[in-house]
Amino acid sequence: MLRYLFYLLLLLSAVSAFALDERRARIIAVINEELAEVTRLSQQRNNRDPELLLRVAELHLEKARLTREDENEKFLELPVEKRRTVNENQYYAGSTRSFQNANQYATAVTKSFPSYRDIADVYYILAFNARELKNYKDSDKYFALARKKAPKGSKTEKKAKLALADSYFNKAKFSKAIPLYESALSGLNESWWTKDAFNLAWSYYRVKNYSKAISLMHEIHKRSGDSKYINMKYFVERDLVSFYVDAKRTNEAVEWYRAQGIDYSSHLIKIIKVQTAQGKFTQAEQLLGEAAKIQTSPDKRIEVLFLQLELSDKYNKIPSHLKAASELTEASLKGRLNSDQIKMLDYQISKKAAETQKAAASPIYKDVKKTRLSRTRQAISYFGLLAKLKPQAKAEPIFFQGETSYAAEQLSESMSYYLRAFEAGKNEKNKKITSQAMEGMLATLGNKGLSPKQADQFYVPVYTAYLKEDPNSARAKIIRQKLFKVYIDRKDFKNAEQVLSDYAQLHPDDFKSQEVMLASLMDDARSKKDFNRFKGFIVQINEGKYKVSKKYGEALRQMMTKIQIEDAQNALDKGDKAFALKSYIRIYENPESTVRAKANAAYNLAALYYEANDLTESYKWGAAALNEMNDAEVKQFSASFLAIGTNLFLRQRFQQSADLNTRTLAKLCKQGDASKNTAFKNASFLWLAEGLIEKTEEVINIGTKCGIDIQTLNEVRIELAKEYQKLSRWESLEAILPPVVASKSQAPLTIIYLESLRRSYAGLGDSQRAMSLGSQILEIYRSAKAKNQDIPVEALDIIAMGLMPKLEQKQSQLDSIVLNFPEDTFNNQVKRKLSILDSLTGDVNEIQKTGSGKGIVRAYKILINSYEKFASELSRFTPEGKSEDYVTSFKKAMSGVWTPILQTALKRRQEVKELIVSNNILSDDNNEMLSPQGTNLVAQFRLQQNLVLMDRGGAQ
Amino acid sequence: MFHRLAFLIIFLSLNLQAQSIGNAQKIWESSSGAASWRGIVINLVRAGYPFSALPFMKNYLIQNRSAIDSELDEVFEDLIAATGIRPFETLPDNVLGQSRSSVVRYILAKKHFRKARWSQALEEVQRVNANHSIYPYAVHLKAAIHSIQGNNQEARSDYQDCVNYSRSRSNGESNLAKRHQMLANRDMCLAGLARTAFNIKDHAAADLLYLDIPKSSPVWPTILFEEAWNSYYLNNYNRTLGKLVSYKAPVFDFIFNPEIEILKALSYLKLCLYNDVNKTAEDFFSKNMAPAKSLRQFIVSHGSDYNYYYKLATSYEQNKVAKDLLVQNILQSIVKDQAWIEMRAAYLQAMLEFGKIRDSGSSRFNIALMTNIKEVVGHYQILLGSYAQSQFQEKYNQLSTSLQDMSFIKLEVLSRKKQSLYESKSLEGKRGDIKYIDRNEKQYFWDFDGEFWADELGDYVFALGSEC
Repeated sequence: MLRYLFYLLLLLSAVSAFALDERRARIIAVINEELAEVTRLSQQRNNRDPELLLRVAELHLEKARLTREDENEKFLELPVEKRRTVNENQYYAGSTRSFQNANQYATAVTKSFPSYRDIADVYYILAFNARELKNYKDSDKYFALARKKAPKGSKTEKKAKLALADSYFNKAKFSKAIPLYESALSGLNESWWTKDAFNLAWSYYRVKNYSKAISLMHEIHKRSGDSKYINMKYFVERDLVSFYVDAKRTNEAVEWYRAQGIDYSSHLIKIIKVQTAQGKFTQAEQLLGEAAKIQTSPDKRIEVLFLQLELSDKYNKIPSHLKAASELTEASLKGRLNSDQIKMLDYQISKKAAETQKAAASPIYKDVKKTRLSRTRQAISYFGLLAKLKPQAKAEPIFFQGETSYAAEQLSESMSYYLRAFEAGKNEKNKKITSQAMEGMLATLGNKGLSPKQADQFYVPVYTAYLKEDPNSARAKIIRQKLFKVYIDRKDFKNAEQVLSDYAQLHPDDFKSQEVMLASLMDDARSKKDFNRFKGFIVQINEGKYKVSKKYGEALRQMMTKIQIEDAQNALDKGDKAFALKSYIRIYENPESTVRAKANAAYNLAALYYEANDLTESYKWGAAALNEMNDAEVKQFSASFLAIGTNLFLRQRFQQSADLNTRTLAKLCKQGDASKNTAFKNASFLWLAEGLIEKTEEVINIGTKCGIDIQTLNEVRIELAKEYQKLSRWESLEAILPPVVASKSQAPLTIIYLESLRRSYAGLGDSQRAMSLGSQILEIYRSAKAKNQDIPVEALDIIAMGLMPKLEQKQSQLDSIVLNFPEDTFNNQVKRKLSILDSLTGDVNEIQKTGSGKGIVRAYKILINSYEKFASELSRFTPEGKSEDYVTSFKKAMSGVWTPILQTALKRRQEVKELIVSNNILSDDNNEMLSPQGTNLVAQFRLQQNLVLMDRGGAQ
Repeated sequence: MFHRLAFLIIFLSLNLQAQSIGNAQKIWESSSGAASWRGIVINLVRAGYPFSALPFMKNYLIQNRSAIDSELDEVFEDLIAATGIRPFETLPDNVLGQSRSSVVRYILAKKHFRKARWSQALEEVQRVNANHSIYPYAVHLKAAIHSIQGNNQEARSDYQDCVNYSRSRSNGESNLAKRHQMLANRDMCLAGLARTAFNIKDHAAADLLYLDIPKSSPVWPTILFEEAWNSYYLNNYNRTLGKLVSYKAPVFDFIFNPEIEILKALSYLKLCLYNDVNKTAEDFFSKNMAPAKSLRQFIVSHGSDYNYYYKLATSYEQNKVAKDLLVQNILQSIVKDQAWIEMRAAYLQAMLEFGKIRDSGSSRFNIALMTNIKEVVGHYQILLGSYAQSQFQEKYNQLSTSLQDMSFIKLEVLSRKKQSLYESKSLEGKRGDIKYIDRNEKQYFWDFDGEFWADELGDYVFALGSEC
């Protein structure tokens, strides 16, 4: 049982090395399984087996220890503040429960099985348990019981004694611990002997029994060489030196350590410290040298160096101090120093840096230049070490390097340090150092001791750095101007431009300075013929980036255009049209060209090609020029564009001509220019000639908006109406006519188209609309007639034909009256017919007034036919049932009636013939009216070969 | 010709039996007392009525203090062959002790043996005449006593004698029942030889000695388990597992031995196959823990109600139905047990005898005989019930012990697991190959239903690699 228990404890000590929570958890899981199993087993035996109960107790104890480990880690992970306030018991609840369980079972064994053979072991567990729960009183009590109950000389007895001894040892009751340790260790010869003996040795030491303590340490050291024992060599070597030192046997200590053949430098160090404290400097220095030689590990080297640092400080041996400090600084950078060591090193270096700097600046060494230089270098080195040591706060030591250099009048070096300090200060956000370093730099730059060549290399970094920190003050404004000048002097125009850019942004109202700066830069661009750059400035001026006076800006823009076109212009002036053409094309195609230059180039190209009679190119560039030019410019050159358009028309490039005219019209839209109407008409007629009705409509729309006069607009509308009529686009026709109908002078022109519409509506059965249109036609006609306005012949024909039904009705009426007797009836019938003929004659006169040739001929035709027919009817009438005489008489009498009627008819026929001829009337009825009475000539058509039918545009 | 001869023998035998029963009746009717009981016993046994004779024989032994004459001794032997010795073990020690008969001494020795009175048992058994037919059993008993007392050399010598005597006596035995009993005795003594070697840790010798027991022997199924243990001590765990797996064969369904699983778990433990140990343990616990508790209550509730146990076992024999699997397993092991079979056979025989007498008339003698048999039958019922009860008690104890043992095994595995965790080692390190596991799984879970070959039983050997 005891074997198991000790094995358990051994394992538990191993557990403390566990880093993995997971493994601990797994072990606890296994323990839980064991507990379940042992508990089950114990219950099977009715809990009457003390072995099993003890086993349960042991398992609880084991679990408690592991749980406590875990709880400890978790508790220590808490922030210190929280750890102070938190209820510690909560964190240790798990382990406490397990300890209590272990206690419960172990106590149960002691009560129920007091004579159990392994009862001492149970007490041992209880003791151990109590110790874990920090119940040291109970722990000691149980250890004592374990010791008492355990068989004499048994392991349990010895272990109990050792535990009690440990307890006394921990309570610093060394006198009580010593006999227990001695008794327990006397017969014990196991691996733990060295460890327990080590405590005994310390107990001897504590009661100042140095001789026994040292002697036992030697024995422990010796046995530790045997693998049978726990190796305590390290601890013996670590502590023995203290024993020797306190025993004032340092020489023996050195001898002993030398005899071990180990690196005893750390032990020497302890001795050196004692010797230093005792004022034995020479000896200490010698041992230090020895320690430096024998040390083998970096840690020990560090310890030696620190000691050296302290000694050098005390002796004021700056070179050796600096050397040690340098090496320690390097070690620190490699992470080999702990925080205390770093603090110490910082203190030492800071202290020496201050001392050497003070010395360097001291008037004492003013005339001892060599010493002064030496101190300066040392101070700089120390500050350098400080900068290395505290990379996160290096600005200040670097600044001090600068200050030291400045004080020693090493201005170039001081500039470098100031600059570095400045940058570091910025990184560290240390405004104080940043500011001081800048002032230092400016002061150094202003120091006459700094050669111009040296100063020159610092201007840019210093000014730039300054401006970054203070971009917008009055001082910054001056520094920026200076910086601009530095760049210009160095011909670094790129950076100069950047300075200008910043300047313009920060000081926008300072026109004058900006103009001066711009002038420098633009002069450079112009002299290099870098027009893009030049133009860039202008663009930026235009965009408002740079503020210049209006006059200056305009001058620059003109200069730009001039620059761009001057070569082409020169070539043109010299008659080198080919070069001029190429130049203009280049200008036009160059994206960097100004708009004006491009417009100019395009116009000139159009003009040149026009002159060269190159229609395609002249059209192309004319269009381009119209595109680039503003309205005023187009107005200025409108004649040229119309000329190019006309030329295109003449060369039958109707569409191009139309397009150019349309573009011209659009540009002239807002301009009060006569050419506008020309362009309008040209464009619309040309589009119409090309049959492009939509384009024409578009031009009309433009014209309407651009203030083309109504007369001109209506002319185009009438032309368009003609096209609509031709294409039977009745709705479009109806839509376009109203403005013309509304025109007082041009309304008669619409009659033809209104008539077409009227017929269209009539054809569709919309007699109401047709009648309305008829009324409108008559109204226009009458109004025009009244005003004596010109009415188109076709319109007159229409009006006349409109009156014709009335005549035809009367002719029918005439025909319907059939002559017959008695005589009175006959006489009345003749009277009626004569009356109708008279009325008909009146109608013909009315038609004649319309002036329609076709109407007049047709009216005459009806009248003549009516006369002739009535005359014929009278001549051929023979009264029935009358005597021959009567008939003869009657015929004779009638001859006097019908003859004049026939003569009148002939007279009328003559009249109409004259009218036809004199008025060049072309009418379908001409044939009938011109042929001799009673003859019918048949119309003949002759087809001539090689005739070409053409439309209005002249196209076939 | 042979048919005729056989018929004649049967005919003669019947005539002789009829003559003997008549003689017995005459003696019974003519006289009373020890002298008459001797004649009655002889005639009744010879007439084939051993159970009718049993009370007369017991009375005779109580009354008669002298040695049993050779004629009666021979008949007594036949009687015991039919009834077994158990009915005589109830006779008081002083009654049995007064007899000088070898059979009686053997009975007495057996009685002392059962009560762990080793020296007295040895004393009695040493008095058995070596020429007597009971001697092979007596020497077997003697060997067992020596073995228990740790006198291995004497034990081995006696077992060897037992083997020799049993073998030679069985050759000349015409009575089939007796012959079987003798051969079984021989096998038990062969096992005794092996056990003795086992006791002195000569496991190699024991291994060979166990092989002398034929597989056809009724003792072999239980011996197989001992062989498994022997292999275990020879560190041949694969063989142990192979022998144990034989118990999965359906023919061994009557074997109730929880220790089989313990040994199996131990073997896995020795091979460091901890997962298999755990599985065996968990299976065992899940199968037996609750039923064991239930069984305990069952046993406590029925106390010594032998009649109940008698009815329980005989009912099971007929119906094969039990309250739960554990009880069924125990009942199956009881009714297949040699002792039970013998007692049960005797009981049935007694019942047959009773029927025969009842059918042969209702004379006073017949009534007296029937009364005798009733007494015997009642006694057998108590014996059978008592046996069943004791078996239940024993099996429960075995199971309880095995559950505890299994807990200890499991604790051992846990302890090793914990130790390996403390030492940062892996317990499952070597067993990573899935193929290996698959192969083992096949071997582990071999299904013997329909694939069992009698001649292979006990010869299986596993092929598991140790993972220690």
